[in-house]
Amino acid sequence: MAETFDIAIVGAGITGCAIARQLARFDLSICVVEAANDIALGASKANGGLVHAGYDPAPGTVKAQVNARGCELYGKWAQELGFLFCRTGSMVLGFNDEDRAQLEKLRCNGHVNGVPELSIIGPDRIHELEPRASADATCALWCPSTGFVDPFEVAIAALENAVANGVTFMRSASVEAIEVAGSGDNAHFTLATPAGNVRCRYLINAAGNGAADISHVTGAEEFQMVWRQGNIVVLDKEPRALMPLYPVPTPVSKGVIVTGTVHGNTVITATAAVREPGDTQTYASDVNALLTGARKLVPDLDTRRVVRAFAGGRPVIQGTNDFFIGQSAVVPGLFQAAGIQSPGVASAPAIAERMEQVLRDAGVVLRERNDWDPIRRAPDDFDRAPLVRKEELIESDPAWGQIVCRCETVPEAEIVAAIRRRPGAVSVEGVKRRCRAGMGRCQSGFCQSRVVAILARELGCDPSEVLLEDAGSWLVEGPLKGVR
Amino acid sequence: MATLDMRDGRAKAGAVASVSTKAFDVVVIGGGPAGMAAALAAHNAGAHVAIVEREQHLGGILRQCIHPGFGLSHFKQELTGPEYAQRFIDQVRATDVALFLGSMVIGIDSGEGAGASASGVDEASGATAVHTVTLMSRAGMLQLTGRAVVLAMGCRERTRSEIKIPGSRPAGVFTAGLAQRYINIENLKPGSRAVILGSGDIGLIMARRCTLEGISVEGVYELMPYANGLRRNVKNCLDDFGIPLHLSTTVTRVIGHDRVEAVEVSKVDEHLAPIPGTERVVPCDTLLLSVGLIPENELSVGAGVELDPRTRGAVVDQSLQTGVPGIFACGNVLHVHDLADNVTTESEHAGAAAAAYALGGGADAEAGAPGAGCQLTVSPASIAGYALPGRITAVALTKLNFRVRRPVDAARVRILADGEELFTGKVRAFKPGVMESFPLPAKVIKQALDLGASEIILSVEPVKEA
Amino acid sequence: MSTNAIEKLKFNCTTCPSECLLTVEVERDADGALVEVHSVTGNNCPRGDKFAHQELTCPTRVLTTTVAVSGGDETLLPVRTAEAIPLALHAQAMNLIRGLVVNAPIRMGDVVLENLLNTNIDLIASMDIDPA
Repeated sequence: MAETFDIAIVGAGITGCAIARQLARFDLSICVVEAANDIALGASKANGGLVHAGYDPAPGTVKAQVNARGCELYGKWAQELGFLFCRTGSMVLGFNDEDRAQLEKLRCNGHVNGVPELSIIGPDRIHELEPRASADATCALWCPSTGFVDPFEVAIAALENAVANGVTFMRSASVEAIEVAGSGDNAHFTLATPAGNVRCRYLINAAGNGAADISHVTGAEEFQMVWRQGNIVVLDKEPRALMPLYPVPTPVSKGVIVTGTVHGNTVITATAAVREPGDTQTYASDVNALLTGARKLVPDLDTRRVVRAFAGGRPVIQGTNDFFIGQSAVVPGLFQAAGIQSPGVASAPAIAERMEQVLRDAGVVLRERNDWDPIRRAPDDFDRAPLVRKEELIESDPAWGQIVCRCETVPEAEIVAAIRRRPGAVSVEGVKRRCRAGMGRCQSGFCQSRVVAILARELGCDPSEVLLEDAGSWLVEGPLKGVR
Repeated sequence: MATLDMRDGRAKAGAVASVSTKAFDVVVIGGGPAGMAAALAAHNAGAHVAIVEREQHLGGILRQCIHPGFGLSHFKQELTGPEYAQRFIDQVRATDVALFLGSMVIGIDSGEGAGASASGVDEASGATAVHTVTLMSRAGMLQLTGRAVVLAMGCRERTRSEIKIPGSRPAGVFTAGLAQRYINIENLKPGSRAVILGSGDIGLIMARRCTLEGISVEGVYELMPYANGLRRNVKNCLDDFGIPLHLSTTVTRVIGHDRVEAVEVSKVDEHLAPIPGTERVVPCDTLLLSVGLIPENELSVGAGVELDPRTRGAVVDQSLQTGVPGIFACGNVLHVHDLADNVTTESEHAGAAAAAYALGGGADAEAGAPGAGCQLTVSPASIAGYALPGRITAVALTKLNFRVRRPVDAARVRILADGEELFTGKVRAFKPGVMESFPLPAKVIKQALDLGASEIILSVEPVKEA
Repeated sequence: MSTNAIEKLKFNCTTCPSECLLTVEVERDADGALVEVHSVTGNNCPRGDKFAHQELTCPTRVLTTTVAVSGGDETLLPVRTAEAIPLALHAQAMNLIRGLVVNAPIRMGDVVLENLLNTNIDLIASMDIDPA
């Protein structure tokens, strides 16, 4: 019989990874069980990376409680986990008196939710803060605490830190069945997955869009997920990253937001339309809506410079717009972190903190370990390194001098490091998310074949077995020549 | 890291004492056909030259363009891409041009400085800036200085994202050049059933290449109502193999979650918008995109070079000098060419001009004496999509390059200044796939100056047939 | 009495970059076989006429492809036929070339395969390849 973990977390999205990292400080055996072959392959990779401040959620909701707190925690998490985080502040732009009234409401909301330093500002201050904001904006809600991250970098960093502290990560382990056995202190769950069975005493459901299924197969709360799909567009780098600019929100969506990214690109995020579950297609109408919406906020935006368009589904629970965080009322020992749609990225550290409290309240013994290391040393980023550091790196290993991705200046050694880290990249896209090879304007036209060769070498497989992303996404067949 | 404000991008690669420096007259960035021709011309003019090439070999993209069709004008003989490249590689190897292979340029600094010239140009004339090119390789970081720099980095392919093809994002969508690399360099088969979008030369060549290698090509789809590539390629690459060419049709959706399973194609109207109801699903496992090339000018922009939004290459004068004194540009980084032979001719011009600049300590010695006060801009009009050079600063015979935006059976070139017609060409057909050139005589430039004009207009005007 | 059909064909000459559009009148028999080329027009030089006749009797093309390399600093060697060979032989030639392996070093012009498919034309290297 396999080892019994104290806790199994289903889902290695940003929520599951943050929870794993939060709980790794305690004397618990923890396993993160992920259906896909890598971290953050669901909603966590398909969003705009904004760390919203928290003035938007209705006061009293779970969202309202975790959003502002999550945003606050980001500074500390970024420092400890070594991921990039820019706290630039943001503006919600208003264009008329009606908008101004809405901004005032948001400001009050934000005040109740604990968002610091909100103020309504006029045109002069708007253009001082972001000279590229539309000249038609007459007023704005200025929110200094907003920031942005690379959402998959956050998830990867959190899980790397968790794994370094002893957490087990199982990939390609979609949960097919869950058996609940025993009761009281002897209760445990057995998760059947293609990668083997996992036994645990407590189960945390952080399965994103799969959360309803996990709850269902455990015999817990029945709910339905709604696939509220969003298209997102990434534009090429600018000399200076844009401050996040929001339109006045609608009841269902924050609207089309324009923001810089930690790497200096511009992101336009996101449309909102209920579509077939699993639909990650982009739509011409959505992309046009994004570009049009963005130009309203930033008229000089060069929307020809699209580097990438993608789409994902927000894990929304039907009938509520709120997060569902807490112990199951039906199956004790099952803890839900479900419906983590927007602002899931911003809330992740606070959701993890709240989950810790929920476990404590449920009587789970949480004893601090004395050997817990909160620090994750980020991999070297050649492009950002000062010249002297670049020299040192190449001296340490010539592969640091071998450029593979031209657009993002990623040398071979950085790609090898991305594959060798734990948990490491196992696909071309996994490499891209960790070190940006293929992320740039040529979209891997120049480097893909080289990344494939490095992956094949490092993973000890044939190039024909290298995947773009998950199972089935083969890139090339075998050799053409030298064969009969 | 963490909460610092990092919005201002990466740290500038400034000169650092610990990095070793080598001095040259002319530093050529890129070792493809453009870089090699520029380097050879600069060398022949007496300059001490370096080529920086990111690959381990010289030759650039020609190494994977294994098809024939090269050299017809330069060598008067039909060569394959590798043969065309090899002839220049042999010539470069026979000189003392310094080669920095496997070396990636990460920045060009054009600070005013008193850096030493390799040829020891008189200090008195050395008021021109010395450019510092920072590069990296497996051997470490290195800085090269040169009075002149020639940009010859080539171009990249437009991607799926830039033309906004909707749908899913599975494996199996490749730019034609990437597929060409897999097939011709890496010995890997990128799929079994391909659809090709774009009838430019690369798309056509790849249709034949795929077919010969046992990858079935379901069809070539072209947004425009005409084929973009050369007629010879339509004939030899499609007609020879019975591959259908579907005009006024584009890919409107990629289908397949993990690997491409099919593409949806639609007819487009006269505004190039897909026509609802004309969708057709074409099963395939591979989509090759040949949808245009874009000069790769990130380095140039970093060095302060101004770009022409039409070509997306540098704005240059008649000696192919950019707005930054001493920085020249040629080949596909300047504007996208359709024949390597034209790249060679242009780059020889740039290389010679760069050498003249470096050795003469400035000014365009090669292009003739700068006319006193000759400062003309050149602008395209009517169906001319661009005009290059964009600036003329000398009264001398100047080759004007241009491309039309749409095919016409009958049009003529007109040169205008201050509303007056200075020249008119004979009526003939023009195609967007063909880069045209027009020799602008010195006397026309003189006429424009005499009119007090600050701008010359190159207009290609369709004419109604009599 | 003749059942032969007269057909007018249009195609481009590919001898030089001018790419003249040729109009060719041919006579075919009942089986569609070429009987005679009646006329070639549209060519700006005599090479167009020659090209049209060749194209209608036995079209030939230079075949370019790659050959696997052993011990080189590249995996594949680009190769070409030294002269054009009949288009009809290209598929057969590809099958033959698929299994070839050549050893580095190789110089441009080296013969990779002599007298390809008895055409009296050699398959030659398009590029140098140095040892790994």
